[in-house]
Amino acid sequence: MINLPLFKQSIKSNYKLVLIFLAVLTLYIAIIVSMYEPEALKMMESFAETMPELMAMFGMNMEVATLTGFLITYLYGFLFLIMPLIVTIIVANRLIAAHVDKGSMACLLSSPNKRKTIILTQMQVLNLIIFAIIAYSTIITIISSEIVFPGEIEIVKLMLINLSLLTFHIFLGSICFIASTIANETKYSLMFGAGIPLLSFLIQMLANMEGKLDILKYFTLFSFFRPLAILSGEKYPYILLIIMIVITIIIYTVSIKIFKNKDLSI
Amino acid sequence: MKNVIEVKKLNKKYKNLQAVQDLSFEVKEKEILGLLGPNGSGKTTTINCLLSLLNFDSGSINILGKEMTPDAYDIKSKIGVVFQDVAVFEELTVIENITYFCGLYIKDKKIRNRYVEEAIDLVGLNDFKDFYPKKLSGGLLRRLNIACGIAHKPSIIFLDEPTVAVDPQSRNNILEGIKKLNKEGATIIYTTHYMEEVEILCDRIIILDKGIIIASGTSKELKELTSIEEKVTIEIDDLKQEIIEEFKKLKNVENVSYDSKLLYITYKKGKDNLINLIEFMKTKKIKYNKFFSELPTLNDVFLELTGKELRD
Repeated sequence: MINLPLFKQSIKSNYKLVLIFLAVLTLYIAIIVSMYEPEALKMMESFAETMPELMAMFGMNMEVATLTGFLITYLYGFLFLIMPLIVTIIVANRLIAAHVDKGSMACLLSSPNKRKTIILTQMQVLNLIIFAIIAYSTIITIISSEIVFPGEIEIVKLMLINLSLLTFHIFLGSICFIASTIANETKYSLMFGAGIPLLSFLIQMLANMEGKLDILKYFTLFSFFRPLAILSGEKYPYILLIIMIVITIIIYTVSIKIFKNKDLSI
Repeated sequence: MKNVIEVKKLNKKYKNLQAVQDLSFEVKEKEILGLLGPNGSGKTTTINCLLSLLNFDSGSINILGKEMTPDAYDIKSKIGVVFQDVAVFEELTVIENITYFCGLYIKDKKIRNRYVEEAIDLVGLNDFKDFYPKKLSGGLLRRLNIACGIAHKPSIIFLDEPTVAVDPQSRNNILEGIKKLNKEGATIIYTTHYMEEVEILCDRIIILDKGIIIASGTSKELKELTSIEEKVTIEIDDLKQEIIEEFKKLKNVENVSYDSKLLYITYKKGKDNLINLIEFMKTKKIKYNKFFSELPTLNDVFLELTGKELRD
C-alpha cells in the first residue's frame, strides 16, 4: 500500500538531508577506521585509565582491542547512534506534522486517497531512509576496514550488530513518528519526537559513567542496543531485538489508528 | 437545478466553543455559493466538516446524493479544495507542485499533464512554470495554490479565503479564474470576509456569525433585509450644530453625523430622499464640495443583524 506521488515527494523533500549526513558519516567512518592501530589504542587506554568516566560517558569502552571492538567502541557508542537519530527526528517530523502544520495534509486527506495508505507511505519513507543510512554505513565500514586492514574485520558479527542497530533505529523512528502523528504542530512533534530519544541518550551517558548513576541504564531506550554483548557472543541482545520489534509494531499500529481518526486543526 | 450539497442541522463544538450550530443549507449544481462572515464565524469549520477533515457532533452532510464520510473516495475524487493557507512544497517547482496535487487524483500521465497545463493557463502562471515557490510573490503563490486545488477538474470546488493578502491584479485574476471554472460547469463554495468579492462572484450568499446562519439569499435579497435605503456623504467646510439638527429632522433620515468636514446621512427606505436633501441645502444656502450617495452594502446588512462590522 503506497501512494506513489506522495512517496516521490517525500523522498524528494528529504534526499538532500540524507546525502549530507551520509557524506559526514563517510568521513567519520574513514577517519575512525584509519585511527585503528595498536600504538594509538595504548594511548587511548592510558587516556581511559586517567578519565574513565568521560570515555564511558560517550560509550567508548576499552574492553575490546580488535578492529571490530575498536569500531564498536568509537562508532557505535556515539556516532552511529546520534547521526541516524538526528536524520530520523527531522524526517519523521517532516513526514506528518509538517504536512499538517502547513496545510498540505488537509489537501492530501481531501483527495480520494485512504488515510491508511497515506500514513503507510510515510512510514515506508522513514524506514527506507533509516535502512539506507544503516546499510550505507555498514558497507562503508566494511570497505574502509578491508582497504586499510584486510581480513581483520569480523564481517558476520558486524552484520549482526548492524542488524541490531537497524532495528534499534527503526524502533527510535517509531517514537519520532508517533509524536509526528499525534502533534498538529511541528514544535510539539519535535518536542516529543526529539525530546524522548535525546533525553534517553543523555540518561545513557550518565549511566555509562557508572557509580551511583549506573541504575539509570534501566531507564533508557539505548539499553536495547548492546553491540559489545553481540560481539562477545551473548544471547540476550537478540531477546532485546525481538522486544524492540514488538514495541515498534505496536507503536506503528497505534500511529495508524491515531492518524485514521485524526481531526485536522485548521 | 438539483442540489449537489445538502447540509442538515450540522453541529460542531471545540471544547466549550460552539463553532457551528444547527447549520442547514443546500448548494445547487453550477451555483457559486458564498459563505460570508467575520473571522471565527465558522466558515472554515463548515468547509472542513463538509470535507470530512473534522468529525462533527451531529447533523448530516450529503454530497452528490451520497453521505459524505472520510471514506467517500468516489465523492472526494470529484471535489477540489483550495485552503486558506498556501500549502505548496518549497522543493518542487510550480509545474511539479501542480503535477503532484493533480497526481493525487489523476493516475493517467497523459491526461494529468494536459490538465496541469490547462491549470497553469487558467491561473496565468505560464511564465513561472519552472520557478520555485520562494521566488514567487504572494499573489502568484495564491494562484499556484489555486492551480494545485483545481487542476484535476473537479465538479465541486471549495475555496477558503483564496484572496487573503493578495494584490489587486492577482485578486482580479483569481476572481476571473473562478468565474471561468463556474462557466465550465463547476459548483463553487466560496468563503471570504470580503463582501465585495461575494457581491461580484456569488449567485447566493450565506452570512454566518458565531456558527449560525443569520441570513441567506442573493445579494439583492440580503440588502432588502436592511432598513437603510442609502447612505449620503457630503463634504462641507463648515457646518453649525443647529444645521446638523435640521438635517436630522428631514424625512426618512435615520442618522446624521459630521466629522472631519464630512457629513454622513443614513436614509431609511422612502421616496425622493435625495431630491428633498438637495432642496433643503439650496434653501439653507449650504455650500458643499463633494456629494455622493451609496446603496447599502452587505456590511450594512451584517451590521444591522449583528450590531457589528463584518471585519470586526
